Amino acid sequence: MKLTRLPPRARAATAIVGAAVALLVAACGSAPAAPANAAETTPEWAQVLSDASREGSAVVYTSFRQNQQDALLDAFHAKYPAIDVQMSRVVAGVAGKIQAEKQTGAAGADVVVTTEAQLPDQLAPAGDLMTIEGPHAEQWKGSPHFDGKSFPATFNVWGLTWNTDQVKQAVTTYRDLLRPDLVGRIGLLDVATGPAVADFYQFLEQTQGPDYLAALARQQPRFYPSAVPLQQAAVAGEVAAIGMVVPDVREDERSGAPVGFALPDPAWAAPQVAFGVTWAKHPNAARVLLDFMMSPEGQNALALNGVSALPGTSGLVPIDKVRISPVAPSTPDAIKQFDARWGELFRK
Amino acid sequence: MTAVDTAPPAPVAIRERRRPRSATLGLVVLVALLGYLVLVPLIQLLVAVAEGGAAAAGNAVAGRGLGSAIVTTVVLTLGSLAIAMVLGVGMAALSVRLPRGWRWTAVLPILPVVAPAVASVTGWAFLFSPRSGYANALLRMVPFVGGDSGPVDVYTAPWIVVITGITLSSFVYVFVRTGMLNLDRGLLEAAQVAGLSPGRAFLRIQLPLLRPVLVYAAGISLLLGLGQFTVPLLLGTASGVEVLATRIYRFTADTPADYAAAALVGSPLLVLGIALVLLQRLALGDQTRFVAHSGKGAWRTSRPVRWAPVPLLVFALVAVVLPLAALVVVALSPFYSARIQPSMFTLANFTRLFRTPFVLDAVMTSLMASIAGALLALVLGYLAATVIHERRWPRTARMLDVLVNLPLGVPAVVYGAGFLYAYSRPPVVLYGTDAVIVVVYLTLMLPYATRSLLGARIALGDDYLAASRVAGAGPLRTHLQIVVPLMRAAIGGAVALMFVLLTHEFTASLLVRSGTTQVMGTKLFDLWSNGSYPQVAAMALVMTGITAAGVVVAMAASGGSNPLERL
Repeated sequence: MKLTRLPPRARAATAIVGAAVALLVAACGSAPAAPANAAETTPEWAQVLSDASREGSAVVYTSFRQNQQDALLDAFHAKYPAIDVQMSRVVAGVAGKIQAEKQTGAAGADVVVTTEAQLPDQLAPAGDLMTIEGPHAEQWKGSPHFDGKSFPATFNVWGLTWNTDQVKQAVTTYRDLLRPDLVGRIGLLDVATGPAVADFYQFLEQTQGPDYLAALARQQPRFYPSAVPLQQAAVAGEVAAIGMVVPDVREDERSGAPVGFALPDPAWAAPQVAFGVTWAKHPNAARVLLDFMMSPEGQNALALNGVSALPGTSGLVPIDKVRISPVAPSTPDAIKQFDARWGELFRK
Repeated sequence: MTAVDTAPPAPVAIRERRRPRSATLGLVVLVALLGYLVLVPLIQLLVAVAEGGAAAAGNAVAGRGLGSAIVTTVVLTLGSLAIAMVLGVGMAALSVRLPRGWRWTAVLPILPVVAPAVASVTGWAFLFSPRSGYANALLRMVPFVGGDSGPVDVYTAPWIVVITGITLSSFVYVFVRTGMLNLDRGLLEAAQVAGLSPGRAFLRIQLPLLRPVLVYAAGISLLLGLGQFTVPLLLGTASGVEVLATRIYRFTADTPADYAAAALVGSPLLVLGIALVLLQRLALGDQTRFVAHSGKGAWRTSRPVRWAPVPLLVFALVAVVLPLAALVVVALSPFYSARIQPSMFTLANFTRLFRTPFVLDAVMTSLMASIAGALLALVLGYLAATVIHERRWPRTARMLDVLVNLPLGVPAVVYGAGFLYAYSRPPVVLYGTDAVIVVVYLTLMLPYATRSLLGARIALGDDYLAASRVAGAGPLRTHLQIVVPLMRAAIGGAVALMFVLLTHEFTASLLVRSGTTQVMGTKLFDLWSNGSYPQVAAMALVMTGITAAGVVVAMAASGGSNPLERL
């Protein structure tokens, strides 16, 4: 059903029903007042919606976990059935992919969601970032998290997971990872995986003491190339415990996998930064999607694994209970220095 | 004859004047096209090196592990070559002594080549992950093994060598078995009359006669081992095992991609590949002095060995059946663990897989690009085979022969880097389109198409052509109405074989794919890197199923004989 084909009366009815649903969702989720519905019906936004429907789809390269993708798509398609959002999980090398698409004009991402929080700053000088405008984007203006070009779609927290077949005693704190029964049986991410991982190791140093990383290295950890294989290794029992897991591991637990999950206090959370690219093949669909991700409905869907930047949006944990990345200097030189120090500990 | 003798001379004279000109023009177009497809990606890499200069050289040797990658590559190559030669030659010797009723088992050692490597490697991982692998769990029940881990760790260098060796042994098997089937029975009989035992006859008579075949098989295995990419990439990353091929890939996947460094790291592989192709061309002219064809197969009538099927069955069980079974179990499970729980089996992973964006697109792209690539390679391969066979332009024919064989010698990862670099910039920008996959597949299949058709063309002889020309048919009509119909079995077999090879092509596809243009193998790799294991297994089974369907078509198209043996 394309919105452009609706008669004016039906469009008005849709707007009223939409507003009622939004109010209900906002009330249930303790979200702030409903979005600026007046703005949603401005001629400019109506034109964007009309053009987005005509474009029909948007392609997203995303670091979202599967449960976040599912929740966002369900909510988005319920509101905008004429726009098909296709999400492709791209974690490593997303910058290279979109640069290649820019240079060759190839079809590719309209919207990017990434854990590489510095990427928007790297792309902005070349004018690669789409200006994010829309009724819900208006509400983010003035937020320290929104500069008009990118925003943290959500903050995924990292917790601890242990395989209940492999260890009898739960692993609920980072200190537990140093237990003698876990020598050679914990899994970690290599610091080369990305700047966010380097930041997490520095968070451990800050919260667990300066000797913690050396003690962790003595546990003879096994390294994995990215977070999902690491999590799968814990579910499979390939490693007994890991301290870098997103809470969607509880879905494996619910399906019968022998795993437990604990959220330490404080926990560390990494932003999943969203932006649109100026060479998008579906620019209007991208705008509608980005604006929806900023809405209370979008934020409720995305905060399944952590924290929302939108005040009042319910997430797994309140934002004041986590340490938001970066917790340490994140300049290239600072990261390089830490990489070298980490290497001396873990790459012996 | 009378009709020909009394034919008016004028039209013939006109045809004779026109034909060379149009044929020459056609030849120029063909050579230019093949040259562009085969050489431009490699030349572009050399240009990248020249542009990169000292900085590229610095990047190529900077960072950790170049020395270690070189050593690992050499160890992997020699280790897997040794395993492949022992297994391949041993199984080939047994395959020609199979008892009646068990001769079908001769096809079993070829199965690892037919199964998509990227799928079977994931199967190996599910079997031999140190703690959660199904086979490891069983092995730990054996007395004196025990423990809570191992005994096999599939992610370590020694087991990567073993798995690569098993995969390569299929290639050795195909070449050596074909060579053995062509040996002269008379020589074997003479050896027996002279009092040699079967074992001594094998070592003293057959093996020396098979020397060209063994050298060729070892050369191909050496090259495949040097360029080995799939097994180290999937299994070696977790334990830091890196080879030159995976290092090349990482340079192209970096942001920004460093093609010059990739090319420099790949240069030893490139040089060795080209050298092997040239050596092979040189050796071909001289190989008849070794081969003792007499038309009477020696080994088909040799005394059967009753236990000969057992090693072949065990090989198929270990190399194909068990990895596939592991994939089935994981694909049906809600999560992967060492405990198999049939009560929890579900098809949800397949449902979810096909709901995942781009998975169906990847399957369709694989099928379309494989069909298009095979058909286009067939056309160019036919023309190249014709030029090489007819030798009207001997120098051009020799050059074409080397040209079309280059993609077989140069490792796919080096070619992949060249394709990515060449087709991401003018004059031909194809990045992010299905067309780049088709062009890459077409180029990679040129050797297979040309070799298949050249062999069939030689077997056909020139009598039919002469008769057709004498009867007044032009070259085009002769080819379309005489040569092509007579070669239809070879053409069908070649297309089907190329389709099978292309549906599980992984290495070059991984380098040239974009975020939205994917094939089955690259999507499987993405799931392996970022998805759940049950979905990895489901995707691997889908890929295997499609390839298996291609194999059935290949068998039918080639008249029931194994299509690999045609090469």
